[in-house]
Amino acid sequence: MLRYAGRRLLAAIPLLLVVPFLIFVLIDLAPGDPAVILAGEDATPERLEQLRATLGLDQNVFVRYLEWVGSVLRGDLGVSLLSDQSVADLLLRRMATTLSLVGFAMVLAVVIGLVLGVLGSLRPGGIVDRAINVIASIAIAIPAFWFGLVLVSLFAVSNQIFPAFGYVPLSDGVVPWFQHLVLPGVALALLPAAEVTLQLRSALGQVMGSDYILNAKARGLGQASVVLKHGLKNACIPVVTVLGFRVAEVLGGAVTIEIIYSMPGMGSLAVNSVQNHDVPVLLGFVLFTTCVVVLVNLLVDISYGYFNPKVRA
Amino acid sequence: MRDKWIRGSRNLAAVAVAAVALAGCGGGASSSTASSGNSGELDTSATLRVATAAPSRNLDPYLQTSVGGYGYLSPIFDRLTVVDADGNLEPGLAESWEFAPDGSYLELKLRKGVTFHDGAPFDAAAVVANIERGQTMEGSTVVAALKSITGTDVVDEHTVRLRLAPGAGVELPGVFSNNAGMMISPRFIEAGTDIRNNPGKSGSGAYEVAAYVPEESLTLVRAEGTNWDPEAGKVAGIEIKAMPDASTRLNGLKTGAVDISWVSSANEVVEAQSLAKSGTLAVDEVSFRNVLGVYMRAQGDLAKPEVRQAVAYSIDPAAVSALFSGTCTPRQQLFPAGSWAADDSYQYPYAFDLDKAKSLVQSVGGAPKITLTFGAGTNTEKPANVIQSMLAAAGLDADLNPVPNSQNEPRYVAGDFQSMVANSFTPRVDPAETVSTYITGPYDLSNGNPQIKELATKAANPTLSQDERAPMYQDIAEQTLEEAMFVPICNLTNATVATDKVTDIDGIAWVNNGLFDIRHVGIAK
Repeated sequence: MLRYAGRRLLAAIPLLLVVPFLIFVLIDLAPGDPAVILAGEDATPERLEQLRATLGLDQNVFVRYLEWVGSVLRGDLGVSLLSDQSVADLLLRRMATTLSLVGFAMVLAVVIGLVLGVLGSLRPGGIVDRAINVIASIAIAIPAFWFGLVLVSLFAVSNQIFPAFGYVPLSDGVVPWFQHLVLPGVALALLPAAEVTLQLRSALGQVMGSDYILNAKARGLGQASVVLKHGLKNACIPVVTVLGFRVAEVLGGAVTIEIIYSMPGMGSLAVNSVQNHDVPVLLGFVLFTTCVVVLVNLLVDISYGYFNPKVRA
Repeated sequence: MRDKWIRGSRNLAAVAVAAVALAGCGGGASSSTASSGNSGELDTSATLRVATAAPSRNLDPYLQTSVGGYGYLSPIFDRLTVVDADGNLEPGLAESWEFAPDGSYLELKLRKGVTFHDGAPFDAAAVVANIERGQTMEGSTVVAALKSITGTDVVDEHTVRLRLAPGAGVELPGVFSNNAGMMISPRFIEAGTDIRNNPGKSGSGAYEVAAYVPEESLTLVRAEGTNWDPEAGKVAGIEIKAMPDASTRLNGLKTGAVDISWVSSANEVVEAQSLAKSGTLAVDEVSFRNVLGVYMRAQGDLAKPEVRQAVAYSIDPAAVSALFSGTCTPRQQLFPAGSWAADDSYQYPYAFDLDKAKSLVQSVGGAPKITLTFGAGTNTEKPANVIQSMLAAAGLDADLNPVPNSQNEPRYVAGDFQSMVANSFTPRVDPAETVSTYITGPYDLSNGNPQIKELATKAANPTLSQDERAPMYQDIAEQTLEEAMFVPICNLTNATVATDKVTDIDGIAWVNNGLFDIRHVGIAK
């Protein structure tokens, strides 16, 4: 298993080089002179030239990219062109917010998806199953940002049950941390919860028709035991695959949710860095998200071994 | 010495409808304020929670790259001069100022008994150190603002003379009311301390920094001792959070998580008005000094004066105002209403006339192309869309080009855009600065007209009185607008929205510039 994980990680290295390079080129191609944007409206021509030299804008994009790779390998992600803060410090500070939000949303998505998926599969074609299908389909169509705005209106402004914005670190208390995550987390969990529901319902429906399940029923096992102990594990493989893909999507969806809820996370940092051509911050963000996606996919692959012993063999 | 140079437009609330009907002659503010803040006994232990659209990138007054950071700095760093809520220039750390009879220097008489938070005295030497820092520090963004100062002389402990380049410097008292006039302790200057993220005790304002996260938030605590300004320091602390989304800011106010904020897009201003009417929140509306308008470069089809004139003729300020529920008061002049440089009898040469616009378009043949750039998600987005429709009605082929707000102005100044819809034409304290920034400076609204440039140089003579300078600025404005490089449309509305515990919300300076100076705001018990 370790060897397998190691091989997968080695295989991810080209990805970690290519994705930031593509972003580097794209931001370089974007219209506008970064020096002008960073220096502001009253910049003198001398200041602009100085800034261009500092940013290395007079150099070839490949040379600049290789210099960045070199400094990353030395453990230096650079400094923000806007605020002069260390990129690593910036990302670490914002990471807690985004990881809390994304983690909360994914856990919620899994719990809701498991419950509804199992319920729907108990009586395929029944009223409950159909209702869950319809609700999940509608949920997939609803944009997360719109849902987020509705939640704020209903549960924060009209009825002050949860805060309307902001984030409180876990170190400041579990309760306020949780309270600030509920509304944005629910908004972000909507789509993955719906997809997990449909995927699980479909997979469980297939598994429940298997011979070994019939055998289990014939042996007198209760419905709950049949579904949860015997059926669910085999039905989880496609669900875990979907979850792996959804992590990247949820990371992207966190951008709009963080802006709506004014949460100082990596999503809002990424938006700001794109708008202001803050290349070091943007590349640091891209590197982080690429690593997260690679890691999550690796964990998904490893989890197959848990769900299906044949894979382990 | 006090220069009275503008009247607040908020007093014209009741005549808003009439003002719309008088489009083209300047107008009054639209205001439906139901309440304008509390005036009860103050809670001096309270913390004021502020939500603002613009983030702060650093806390060094001389490294500010956008005006959005000024509001974060004004409680920390005192300025040589200040402006009040009506835009009148008032003494700050400089109690008075006077130009030499021959215009060779500007003499500042400094306030006595002021110390920085680190104990260093504020005196003439401190002013000299700050000015030298502003002119020479690497990356300083106030070099251009201080360029007319050729040297400094300490006359005595509380008197300093700023030697001026010939015929220059008349704008300096007004310049000192912004970041260029913010003073930091000479001990920090001498030590070369980097105060971008931690100003420490370098300021002399009523507050010190307790915590700062660039681009996110600033927490201030009342500084020890008594501030020279008896109106400052009413609250124990101030928390300023950057929240770009106006809906989020309003939600924060409605839920009581925020005490004060500002909105300026038409939808949010209307929502603020209804919140004020229902008594939920206190709202104070002012008209921006900033003029919403269309900037144009002589590029592409806009190189032809007929096309630029057609653009001007096709825009109907009254219709724009009506579409925005009266939150954009028509104003087709460069200088603010009540300003000594303004001419109340001035008639804009290209007042709305669709037939003339069409005729000009036909005279050049084809459908001239114009690309309207604007800051996406800002209060210019809707006006840009409306203007596009108006230009189309005249036969102009107008495209919209939304860009991130942080790029809009710098890239327009750099020449990247053919035209821009913006709310950025900000008449400065002294018209000389307005002219040097927008008309003869990088925005080049004079279109390189040498007569305008010559007139601007004459009008900026510090030895002349306001009465002598005023006709020259009126002439400059007239010639500039005839060039049709800028079409002034209206003054948008900036609404201060606060909970009913916040005091003095109608006395906040800079709100008519889209900024905020909350030094004098308090919270009632």
